[in-house]
Amino acid sequence: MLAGPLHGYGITQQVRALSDGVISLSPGTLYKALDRMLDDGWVQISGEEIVSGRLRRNYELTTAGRAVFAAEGQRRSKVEKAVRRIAHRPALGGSL
Amino acid sequence: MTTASASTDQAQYWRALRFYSKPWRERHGADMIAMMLDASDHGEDPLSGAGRRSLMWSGLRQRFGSGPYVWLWIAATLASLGLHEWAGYRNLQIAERRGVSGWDADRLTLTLALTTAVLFVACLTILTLSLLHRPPFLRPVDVSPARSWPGWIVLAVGALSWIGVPLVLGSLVIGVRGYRAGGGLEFRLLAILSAIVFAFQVLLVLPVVNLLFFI
Repeated sequence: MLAGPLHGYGITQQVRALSDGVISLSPGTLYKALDRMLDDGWVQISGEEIVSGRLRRNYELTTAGRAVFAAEGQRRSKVEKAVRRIAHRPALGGSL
Repeated sequence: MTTASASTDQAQYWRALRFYSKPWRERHGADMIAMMLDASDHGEDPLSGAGRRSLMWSGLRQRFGSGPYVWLWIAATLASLGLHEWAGYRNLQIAERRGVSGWDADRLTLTLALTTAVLFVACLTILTLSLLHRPPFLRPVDVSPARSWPGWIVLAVGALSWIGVPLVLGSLVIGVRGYRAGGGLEFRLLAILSAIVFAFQVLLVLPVVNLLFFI
């Protein structure tokens, strides 16, 4: 949703593509998350239309949602760096 | 696709969402179905066995794990416990009056005591599972949750005490709060063990203590 509004199936496709097929969101998981993010004001409905008898509802990130995303990205990046440092640390006694 | 077959298709998807509450279906139902129909168009099967089970469990969690239902389970747990304690005490009184053992005292109060014990365990299990349900994509927290060792100490002291029920309830609360605040599996384990010890103490230890007071 950073690049632009997406509908439900579009979100699952994006998640699958970005995770190289590792993460596959079920409808229950996706809509539980969307429901919480709508309540928290991180996501909003940007538009609705009926396509082939189906409701096509698009979601987009709000300004607050982008701020939370950026902060969470920074936090995770710090954790990842710490894990890398630990992983590349010489083994105990290796320098002796 | 004709309109009739489209509505038939949608009907089976609506049926799969029946475990969700009505307000949820009104809010997200049409959108969820559109998503599943899109997936179906791309060769996926959202209503496979695993897909149906996933919808059932997330629907049940949404329906029964939300705020008002948690209070309902708390009330049901306390009510069944209160009734069990009363029935057990009453059965004991009758047994003493008749000079027989509790098993031969009064069939009605004994049945009530056993039924409410089962009901209490069922309500406590559902309540614990509801409280321990953590939704996906947790809200980021600024501080990491507290360590779990104080909770384990409280549980250990509560489990070793004769009547450590308040302490065990305390460790249950610590476990649930810690896990819901983003804590690790040790908080989940603490909460589950606390619930088991709580049920054990209330159903088995407390009656023995009562009996000793009678003697």
